[in-house]
Amino acid sequence: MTDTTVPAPRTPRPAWMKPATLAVVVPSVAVLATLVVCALFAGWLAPYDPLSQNLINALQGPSADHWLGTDDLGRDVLSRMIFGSRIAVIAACEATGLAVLIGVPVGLFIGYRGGWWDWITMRIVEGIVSIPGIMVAIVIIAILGTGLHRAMFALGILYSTAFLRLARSIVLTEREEVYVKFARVIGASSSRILIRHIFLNIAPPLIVQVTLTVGAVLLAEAGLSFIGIGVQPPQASWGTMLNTAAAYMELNAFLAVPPGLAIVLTVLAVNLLGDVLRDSIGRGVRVPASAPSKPAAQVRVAAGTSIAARPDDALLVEGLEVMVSPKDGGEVPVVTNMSFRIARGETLGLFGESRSGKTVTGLGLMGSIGAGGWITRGRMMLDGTDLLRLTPAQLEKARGNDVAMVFQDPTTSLNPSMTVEQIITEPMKVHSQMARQERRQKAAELLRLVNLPETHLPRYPNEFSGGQRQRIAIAAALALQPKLIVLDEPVSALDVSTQNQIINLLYERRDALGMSYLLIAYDLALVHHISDRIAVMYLGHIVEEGPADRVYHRPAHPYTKALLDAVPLLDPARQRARRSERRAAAADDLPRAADAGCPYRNRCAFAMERCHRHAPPALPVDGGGTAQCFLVDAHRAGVSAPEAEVLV
Amino acid sequence: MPLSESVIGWLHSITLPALALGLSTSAAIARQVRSAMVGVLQQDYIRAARAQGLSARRIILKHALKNALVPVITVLSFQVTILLGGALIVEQVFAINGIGSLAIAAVRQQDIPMIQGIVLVLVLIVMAVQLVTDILYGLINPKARPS
Ligand code: SF4
Repeated sequence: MTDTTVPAPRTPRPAWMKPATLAVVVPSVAVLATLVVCALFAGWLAPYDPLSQNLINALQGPSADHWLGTDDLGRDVLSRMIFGSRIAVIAACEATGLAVLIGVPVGLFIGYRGGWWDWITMRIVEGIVSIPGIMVAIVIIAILGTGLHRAMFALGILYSTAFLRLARSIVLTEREEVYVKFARVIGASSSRILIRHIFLNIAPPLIVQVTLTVGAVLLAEAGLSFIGIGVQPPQASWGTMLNTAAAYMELNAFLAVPPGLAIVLTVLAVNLLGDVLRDSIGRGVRVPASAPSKPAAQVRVAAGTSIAARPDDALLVEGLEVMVSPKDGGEVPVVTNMSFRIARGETLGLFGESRSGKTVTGLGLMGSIGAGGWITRGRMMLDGTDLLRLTPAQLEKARGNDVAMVFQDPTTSLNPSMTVEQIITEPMKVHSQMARQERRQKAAELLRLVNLPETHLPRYPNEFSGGQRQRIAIAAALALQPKLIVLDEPVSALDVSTQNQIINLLYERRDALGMSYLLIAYDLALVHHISDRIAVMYLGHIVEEGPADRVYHRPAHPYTKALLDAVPLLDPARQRARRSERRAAAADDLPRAADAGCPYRNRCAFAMERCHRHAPPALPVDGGGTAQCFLVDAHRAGVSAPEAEVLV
Repeated sequence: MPLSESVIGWLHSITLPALALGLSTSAAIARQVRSAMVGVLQQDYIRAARAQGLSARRIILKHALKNALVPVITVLSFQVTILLGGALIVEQVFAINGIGSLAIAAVRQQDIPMIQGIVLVLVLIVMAVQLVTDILYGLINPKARPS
């Protein structure tokens, strides 16, 4: 989500190497190459003199002698097209070159100098930009007079404003950066570093801007020549040819086709190349791949792991497997053979580090794993109905009615353009028959339930603090009295005092309404505090599960132990270091395809030989629950594991 | 055909020029809407709406589009400036006697005061459009409204 704002790193394999991009690049380059060849060798390529008239032959259609026919004065259209391409190239070079030559130095100067110079220049630029570009060109031409070079001079001045702003903004950002990095260290030589930085950074956006400008200049040249104040007849330019074609539209409509096509193709080629350049520099829009949706029928129930349903189950998840396809292809499991149950009125805390699969599990329950991931096996029984075997329409209904979700960050999970009332009543509107008045009453009641005054109803989310927003999100989740609420790190984005209030609120509501919670969190103390049972996940496996107190005070699995032994350090710097270390270790240990052995073996201090060959089964632990570790078995059997002793 | 003579005739004579002008702008706006939509659809509140069991149609039309339109409105005011420039040329194509032909005649005759007048009128139009978009922006985007 956030990576759209981060500039893409310079990738070793450039984007233009991809086949889809090549399909754009190759024809575009071909069009432009043809244009340049025509411009350079117009004298040799053109079959006729573009200016020689032959009035007897005027306004002819295409023929063997004149491939593209003749115009009103009997001139060969093909020859005029070829010479017109020379005009187009000259126009593009002149205007764009001038724009760069004026815009970049002035932009660099005012960006560096700042103060009055900057202020006055920028006001002038803003004035120019707020007048239609072609009008600016017309004004300049009115002063200078008509003709190709004067018109291009006018366009050059017009488009220099874009380069000016580009250069200025780059100086400003780089200045900040260089100043921050180097000013304290070396002081005097920082301006030299600044200059080097600017030249390194200005090139990519400059190239993109040049392609955009070339496209705009070509269009503007055609437009100016068409209205008769650019290139002057009898000189052949695509714009003047269009002008002729418009005048003789009734007599020979074909005249408009060659110059029209030439302009469209050239501008299209330039702009498409510009787009590719921009995307490979990383400023383009990234479209997420659409989710490969697997039909429900393909979801299989894992054999042999079936746990019996109990009458008081609110949720029973069995043998769940979720696959994702990473960017470099293939399939990797992020959740493997996962089974758990949540009784009515109970809270299950699902604990795990990032990428342990805990969030994917929650999203799977909501049926919205998103792009690139899908459920391949398992059952998800909500109150006796398997969510994975519902049709999309049934699933939509179940989601609103029976399951709700509260997200981590309330600043992004509430729609900024909807009022509190709209946000809370939206699920009722879709899933219930309530009348408008009823819905409003219900919304007011829900706000009271989360301790907010009903006067908040007509207000927008941005008017509230994080804690208040999370209350609103909870009110919306409660709207249809779901059986289960998935809480995805519901308080980690809030400050500590607000955290406690929200936790208490969640408690209260659960007991009053008899709901169940699936709490997904990264804070084991918090999980212990709220949950009845805890499940600990590592790399897509539940490695330990049991009553909250037992797991928290007497952990059985080496992973849980390691997490709990790590009592918070008083020195915040050391604490931070330890955390990032742990995160790095987790990042190294990635989900593997078809895996034999214990998922934790690479980080386990007690790893034995057999841990590498066999996956430990879920073994019962004294005090309740299970743990997936061979050591549990050894302890229970009263024999010590010899290998383990060696390693300890 | 002027509006004062016949409404139908006026509509008739204005349709094609409007189409010629509007088509290219609509492409630019479609592009803008697309990129804004892509951004909005990745937001958490869209995931939240999906979690509430809303249909894809409702999510796109009611939850996403309104937010995606916010940046589009800004672009719209720039587009009006570009459209005004485009109108100068389209007028010529359809032989409409408008501000464009006036400007071109003024250039031919080096009639500088006339050109000043035309620029002034255009600037006033652009300013009016920007005022309207700013107001619209406030209406559609609650964040820009003083609370
Ligand atoms: S099974 Fe082996 S590797 Fe896995 S946690 Fe237990 S001791 Fe460690």
